[in-house]
Order: sequence, then C-alpha cells, then structure tokens
Amino acid sequence: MACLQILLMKILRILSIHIIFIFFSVAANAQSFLSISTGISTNVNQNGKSFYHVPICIQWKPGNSRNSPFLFELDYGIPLITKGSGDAYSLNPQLPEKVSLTEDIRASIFTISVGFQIHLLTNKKNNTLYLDLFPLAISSQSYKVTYKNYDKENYEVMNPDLNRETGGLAMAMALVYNFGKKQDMMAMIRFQSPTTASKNDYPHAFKSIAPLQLTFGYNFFYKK
Amino acid sequence: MKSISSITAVCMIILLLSSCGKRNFYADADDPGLSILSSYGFNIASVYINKVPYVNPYKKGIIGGIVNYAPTLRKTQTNSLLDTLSLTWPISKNDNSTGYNSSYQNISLLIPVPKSFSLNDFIALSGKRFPANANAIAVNSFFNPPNPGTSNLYFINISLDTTALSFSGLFDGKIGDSIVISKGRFDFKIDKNTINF
Repeated sequence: MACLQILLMKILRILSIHIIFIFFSVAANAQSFLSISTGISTNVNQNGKSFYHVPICIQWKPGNSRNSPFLFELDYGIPLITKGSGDAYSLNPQLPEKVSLTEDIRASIFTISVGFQIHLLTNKKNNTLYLDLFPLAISSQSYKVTYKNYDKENYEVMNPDLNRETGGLAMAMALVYNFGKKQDMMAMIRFQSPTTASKNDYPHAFKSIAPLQLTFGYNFFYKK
Repeated sequence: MKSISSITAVCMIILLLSSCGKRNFYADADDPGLSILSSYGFNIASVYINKVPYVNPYKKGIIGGIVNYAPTLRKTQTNSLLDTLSLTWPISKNDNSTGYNSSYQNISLLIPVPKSFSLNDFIALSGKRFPANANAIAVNSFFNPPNPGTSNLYFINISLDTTALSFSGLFDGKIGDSIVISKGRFDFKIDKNTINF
C-alpha cells in the first residue's frame, strides 16, 4: 500500500512538471500563422463501409502573444465515392424478379474548430512537434446515396441506404510537425470524434463520421 | 423505501410506454408520398390510387408514441373449390388530411388458396411473384362496397418468429377502367395469434 502511494505521488509529480512545461511552452512558442494542408482521411466510426475523403484544412492562429494561444481550424472533407450494393425487385412479369444494383455513397464533412496549440518537442534541426487540442468543434455531415443504372419505374430497392444530413458538436486533436528551413512545411495527423448523438431511427442509417486524417501543407508565418 | 420503488417503477413504465411506437415512414425520393420498400417489420404500407398517395394511418397511444394500423390476414371459406386468403388494411390519403376525407378507407389483396392452406403454406410463399393478374384486389369506401379487380402480387420476404409473422412485398392492380393501383409496397409484422389458419 505504501509503495502504491509513493508510486502515485511520483506520477503526480511528473504530471505536474509536464503540465507546467506545457503551459510554459504554449507561451514560449506562440507565433501567428496561417496554414493550408491536404492529404487523405478515413472514417474510423464505420458501419460496414469504409469512407475516404480528401481533406482541405486551414488553420489560423491569430495571436502571437503569450496570452493568445487560440487556434481556429476549418476542415472540409471532399468525398471519395464509396461503392455499395443493393437489391431491387419488380412486379412486372416481363422483367426479372430481382436485380443487383451498384450504389455510390458520397460522405462529406465540414467542421469548424476552436482550440489551442501546445508545444511538445523541438529537435536539433529546430523542427517542432505540437499538440493541437480542439475541445469545441461544430461539424456538418452528409451522406448522399445514388443507386445506379436501374429501371426506377419497374423496380423498387429493398431496404435502401438513405441520404442523411446530420451535424452537431465534436472534439478534435492533432499532432502537427513543422519542418523545413523556416519551419514552413507541416505534416499533421488529426482525429475528430463523432458528433453528439443525432436521432435517426432508420436501421441502416450511417453513423456520424469520425475522420482520421493525414495532411501535408504549408505554414505562412506573419507578424502582427 | 417501498413507495420510492413504486414511483420509480411507475415512471419507468410511463417512459417505456411513451417512447414505444414510431411512424416508420421513410419517404421514397423517387415516388413522392410513398414510403420506401422495406422488410424491417415497420407496419407501413403505401400505394398510389389513381396517382394519389395512400398510406396506412396511425393512432396515438394513450400516453404517447405512435402505432401504425396493422393489417388483418384471414382465410375466408367459400362454397367454391378454393378459399380466399385476404390481406386487408386501412388506408388514408398521405396528405395530412383525416381519414374521413379519403376516397377509400380499406384495401384488400385477395388470393385464392386451397381449403387446406396453412400458415406453413403462407410462409412458403416467401419469394413468390404470382403470375400476372392471378389475384384480386379491392378498395372500399364508406359508401361503396368493395368491387374486386385484378392484381399483381409479389411476397418478397415472409418470416415467422416465436410471436410474430413478418412479410413484405409489392403489389399493383386495376379495378374496372376507373381505378388504377400502382407502386404498392408493404412491410408488415403482425401477432401470429391473430391469424385464423
């Protein structure tokens, strides 16, 4: 029991040192910038199908003083078409009873995030690693479904996937690595939670998108 | 302590009763006014009668929630060689008007079946598309008795569990020269104890 207490105390001490270090780092590395990046994104909150996007990410850190570590981010995920399938049935005795269909699903996502940036590491080449935390994000998401090349007059799709518009609050975090001569190049891994629950009773409804994205881009530093 | 438990139990029951039951109408983007074709046991059926969308109505529960009117599935004895299996459900215009404003109040699919027709025979109809005009269809209003015409019918899925019979499918038909029934689809789940065969 005593050993456990000592261990806990040590962990707390290390944590508190880290917290002090982190807050110091926020202030020490504050600098205004605008960054633009793009790459590839996948949805980790899947329900049977894999959805991919090409994310366009714009980050803006307006302040450069120690009191303004805030960060704003806009993310738009351009949907890559995901293929699905379905069955359609016909009453017309002149036609086959059942046909198999190909389905195109476009899942797009747009998010506005507010958060702050924490400096984690700087190496000998002056490359830096940051942790971006976004405790508040507002996300709008949509699924567009199209069943292709079938006779809509004579066939009905059984249990079709349905278009869906949803949105809500989310949280996000990212690891950002700045590199290059002036630290003007950046690579980022970003994860966003699913949005707060939105009611949908349809059994095949798509879940809220939770994108995991890898992007590369450019930092535009500026002085205010 | 006992009274707290009782109050909690009553609250739970009220919550359960008020949350149960949904309309389960999911609009078909290609056929305005109709619900999609489904096989989830939604107890929803929709159809065009002379291009006007009709759907089975719903009632509100005593405390809350929505219950769609379910169909009746019955075998009727006749004096001929075959009996009649009838699947009947109430309908109303799907335009937010009340049922009393609708031209028709019920729709029936009428299938000739052998005298020995049983529940297992019905389940065996799963996946069966009947030949053209092999069955009858009827619609009736308060003032006009049903006058059957011919119908096409396709039972896409039929399944039975311990308590309920679920079936979904497509139908259309024609009654005389004046009533055209098109794009019909149903997704029903009924208590198997209500079936009389």
